[in-house]
Amino acid sequence: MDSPVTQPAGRLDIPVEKRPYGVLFFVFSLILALGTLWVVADEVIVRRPWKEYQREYNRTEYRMMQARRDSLVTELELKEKASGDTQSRDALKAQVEDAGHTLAQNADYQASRDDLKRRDFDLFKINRRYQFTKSVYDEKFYEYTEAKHSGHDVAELESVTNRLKGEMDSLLPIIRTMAAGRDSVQHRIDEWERPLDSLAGALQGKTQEITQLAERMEAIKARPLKIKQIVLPDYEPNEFRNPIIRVERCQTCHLGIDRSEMADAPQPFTTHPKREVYFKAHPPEKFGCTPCHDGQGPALTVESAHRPRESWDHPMLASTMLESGCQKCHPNRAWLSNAEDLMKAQKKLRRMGCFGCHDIEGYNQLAKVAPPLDRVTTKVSTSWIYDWIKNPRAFRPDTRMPNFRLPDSEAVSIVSYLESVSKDKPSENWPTTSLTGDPIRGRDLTKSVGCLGCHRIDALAGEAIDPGRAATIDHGPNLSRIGNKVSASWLFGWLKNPRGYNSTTRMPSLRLTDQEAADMASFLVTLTDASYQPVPRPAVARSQDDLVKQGAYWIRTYGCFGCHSIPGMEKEGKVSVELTTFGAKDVTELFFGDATDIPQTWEAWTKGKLQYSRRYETRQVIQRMPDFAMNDEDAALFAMLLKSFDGRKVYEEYREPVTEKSQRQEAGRLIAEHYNCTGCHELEGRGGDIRAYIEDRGYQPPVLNGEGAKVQSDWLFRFLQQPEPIRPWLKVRMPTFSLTGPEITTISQYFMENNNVDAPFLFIKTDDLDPLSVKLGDKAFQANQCLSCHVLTEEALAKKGASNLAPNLAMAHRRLRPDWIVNWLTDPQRLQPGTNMPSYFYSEGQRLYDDADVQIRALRDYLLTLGNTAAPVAKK
Amino acid sequence: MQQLWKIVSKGDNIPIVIMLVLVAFYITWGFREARRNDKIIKKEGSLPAPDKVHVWPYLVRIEFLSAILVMAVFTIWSIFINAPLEEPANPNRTPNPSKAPWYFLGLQEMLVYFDPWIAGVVLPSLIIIGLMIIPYIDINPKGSGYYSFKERKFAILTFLFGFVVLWVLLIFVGTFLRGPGWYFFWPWMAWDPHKVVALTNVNLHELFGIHSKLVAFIFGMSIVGGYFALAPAYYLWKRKTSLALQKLGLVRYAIVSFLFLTMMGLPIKMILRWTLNIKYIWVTPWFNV
Repeated sequence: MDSPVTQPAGRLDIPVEKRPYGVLFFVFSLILALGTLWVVADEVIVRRPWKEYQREYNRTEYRMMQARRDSLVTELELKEKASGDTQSRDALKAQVEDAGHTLAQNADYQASRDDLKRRDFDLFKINRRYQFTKSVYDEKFYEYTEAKHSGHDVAELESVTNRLKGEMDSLLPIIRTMAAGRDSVQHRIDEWERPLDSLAGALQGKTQEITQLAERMEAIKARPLKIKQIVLPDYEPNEFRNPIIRVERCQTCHLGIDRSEMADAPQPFTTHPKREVYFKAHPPEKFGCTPCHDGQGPALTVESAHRPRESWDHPMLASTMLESGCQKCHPNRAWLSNAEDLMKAQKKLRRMGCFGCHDIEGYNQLAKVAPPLDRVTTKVSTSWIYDWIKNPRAFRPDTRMPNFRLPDSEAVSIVSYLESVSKDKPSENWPTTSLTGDPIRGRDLTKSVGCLGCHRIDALAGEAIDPGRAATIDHGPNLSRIGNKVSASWLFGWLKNPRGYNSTTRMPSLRLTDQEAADMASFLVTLTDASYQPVPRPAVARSQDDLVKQGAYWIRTYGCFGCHSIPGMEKEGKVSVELTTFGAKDVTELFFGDATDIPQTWEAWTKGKLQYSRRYETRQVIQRMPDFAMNDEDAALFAMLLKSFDGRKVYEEYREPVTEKSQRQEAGRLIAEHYNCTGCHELEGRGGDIRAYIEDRGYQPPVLNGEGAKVQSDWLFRFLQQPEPIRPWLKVRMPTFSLTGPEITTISQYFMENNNVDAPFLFIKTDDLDPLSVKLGDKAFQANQCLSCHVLTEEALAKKGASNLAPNLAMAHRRLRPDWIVNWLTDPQRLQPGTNMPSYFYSEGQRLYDDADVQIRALRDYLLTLGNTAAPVAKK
Repeated sequence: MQQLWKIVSKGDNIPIVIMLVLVAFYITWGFREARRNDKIIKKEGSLPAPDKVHVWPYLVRIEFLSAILVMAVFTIWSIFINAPLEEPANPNRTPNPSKAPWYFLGLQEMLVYFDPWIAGVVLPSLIIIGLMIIPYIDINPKGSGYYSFKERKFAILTFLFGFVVLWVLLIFVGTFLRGPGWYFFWPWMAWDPHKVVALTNVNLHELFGIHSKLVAFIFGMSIVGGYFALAPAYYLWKRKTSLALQKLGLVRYAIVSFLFLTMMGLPIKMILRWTLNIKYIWVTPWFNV
């Protein structure tokens, strides 16, 4: 029964019942009391660091307003001093005071005010009486109804309710009369006060902004410190698939994110750096911060809200990973503005063909990215193939083909397999020629006809006017060493008829004549690199059958058919793991092998793998993924993209709605990307890479930003099937892509959606055009000398230069949309900034002639009648 | 060592560290008192009559004081040590290691050596039943109200073995030495989730080259039966000479010996596992021992 607490000696000798415990009791109670106070202080102050942030924010904002107010006051004072204004604030104040005095001495005014007060009180009393009567009536009426429903006697209640109702009815007219009397007195008072009010108004008008600022400053002072919480109801399902509310309190400290004036404030008060771009579509009061940034939203300390990977499944994303957050609501888009990095990464993924080996939801339906190998030996030699698969980058440093680091024996067997399945002839109607090409002509043609929109040719790159842009062109293979790879005769056939070799190729036909094709082929085979030394194919002492069998095994092991279609491998599946939810993988699920020199994080693992795919190989764990040798930038991009594949699905309300328009645009973008339309044309403000080589604007391919509103769909359909020259002087050719009907429809719809055009088809009945209008249009046509530019002769080209020539107007009636003609003539610069088309009828939105609109419509009518036959001729 | 500090200083584990210290302290305390009393008993033949006071108010006031002190300690404790919250539960990503609450870690440790049915159901039930029937099988009136070791050697040693060794020690092991994959880590080793340990356990009958299931069943049953037959054997051997056995009587002896042997079975199985990699001794289609 001894107390464990040390006591003065001798205490234990006192019998238990006589031992005093007063001091102990006091000390313990004191500790408890102080401890309790401490806990409260800890809870309220130490554990609420956000309070100090809010105070600091309030001080910052207050100081800003103070500065603004002070500058306004100084400005006003300066102005008053300078002008010696009779309407200065002091003068106005004096006048207000005078007017106040005058009113105060007016006995009638004072009497009316007293009268008003009395009447107000009377009105209040009678209103109250009415309200009370009504509430008693309501109660009685309820009782009456109840009694009636339950079959009781209602006679008495009926009479009571009737009496109350009568009372109310009798009160109403009295109230009305009294209110009218009161209003008339009020009106009289207003009349007296009006001069005073207007003076006061004038005074207030001068200082309005200052007063408002002062009020806002007062409001800041009175602002309570409180947690600013945003609730996203039904944002996403939790791990148990139940919808959960997402709560976040980021804006408790990040108070200035939606305030433009806080741009220079220190963190955490700074304005969101991309507020202008993002907040319109993602108002922070609806979306909050964590849907994009992740992090522990409900946390209220700097540490726990931002810290990486502890106690929170989705810690805050690093700035380089930020755009991965877009995927949740905008999954796998072909284009999403303001997510450039993500789009770049997705495009790269589509082009690198990761989905050939890995299942990736949203990408699996895409076509294989590399050429089929069913006729490969008719194109290249087996020794070239051997060298190529041993190390593709040795031959072409910028190729997308990865390096499998094949041992000699595996490479030899793979070549043997390919040799065994390859046909020995490209196709039945493979074009051949006996013409001799001229490499000089071929060079010019290669440079001007449009090859450079997709292919990079280092020999021509020096002539680019924009080398930076030229260097990024990589849609087709880099042709700088093509002469080391293929023969002139194969090139001739390929240039003439690409689909004769590869039925699914994206390479279009440029409608070359035999001579042109022979010229180009003869030029292209000169593109060789003497320093290029192919690795010789070693001889292997095995039977051909054995080699072929082994080759099939290795092809199946490495999954070559993920990118190339290979005969005999049509039914193979994907050789590697699914990546659809790779971003959600925990670091403990990743195998680091012997890589002890990198941090054990998801990011480091992923980047390491992308930079060298066999990085985590060990003696036991053999890795087959080929080496893509990504640079730091690409690895970071892909890591960000992979992070976005985390399988998280938010509910519909937060997702970007999928509309018919967005679907059509997306489909169109994918086709445009597939055929690289943007290699030559600018679309949605992007692309036109070939312009890196064409200085003269008159020779550049057209900008198609407004094409949907410009051209008629049936014309476009025919044009894409079989291009016809619109600007015959252009050297770069619109290729024939051999598009299918649905593909063209998709492109046409895409163009239309870009310009918000609803109806694809229109019918123009030239007979119905007003002849007077057509005639007037003819006159305007001549008066404005349209034909000085819209002319197609060689002499004009020589005289004026290509950039001063304009398209053939004879095509207008079947090519252009009539509405577009009107808009074009009204303001060409708006539709196509930088165009050489003069604005004849409007200048900066002002009409130049009274009948400008009539003239424009007349010109349109005239143009629609033109040209079923020949180009119009100038009249004298 | 860094790893050890991380584990020891974890919010959940601080109370366990304190508990270990407290257990050691009170056992030492108890033994000190017992030794003093044993000396007096040896010298005087018995303890002097105890001095008694009323519970109210003399005990209650001290308890009240203790209550105040404990509240004060916990209040101040809460300032420094936060509730050890972890990330939101995720059925697709369970924590590794997944540990039971600390007081069940002894049970979880048993799962390493026994069939879940034995370790999770039979043994815990026997523990509870055993604790419940202590008043009925412990008929020794000595040591009641005072500390003594010599008068209750068997009871105290059994308790110390069952509680300190099998319960507290296993909690200690489960808390501090079991890492990812429930693998054993010494305090100076880092908890590596990729640790690989050779798991090459065999059933006892396989060691003897028995392949027939039926023979293995009979073999295992006879070993387990033989083990439990130690109790009646001991009884037959000692019943004439041992006063304690006679006092206890056959029924109580049967119960005590069964529970005692069952308890001792646990360390025996553990030792068999460590030394001979024995997985099970008795394999049946319904349960394994």
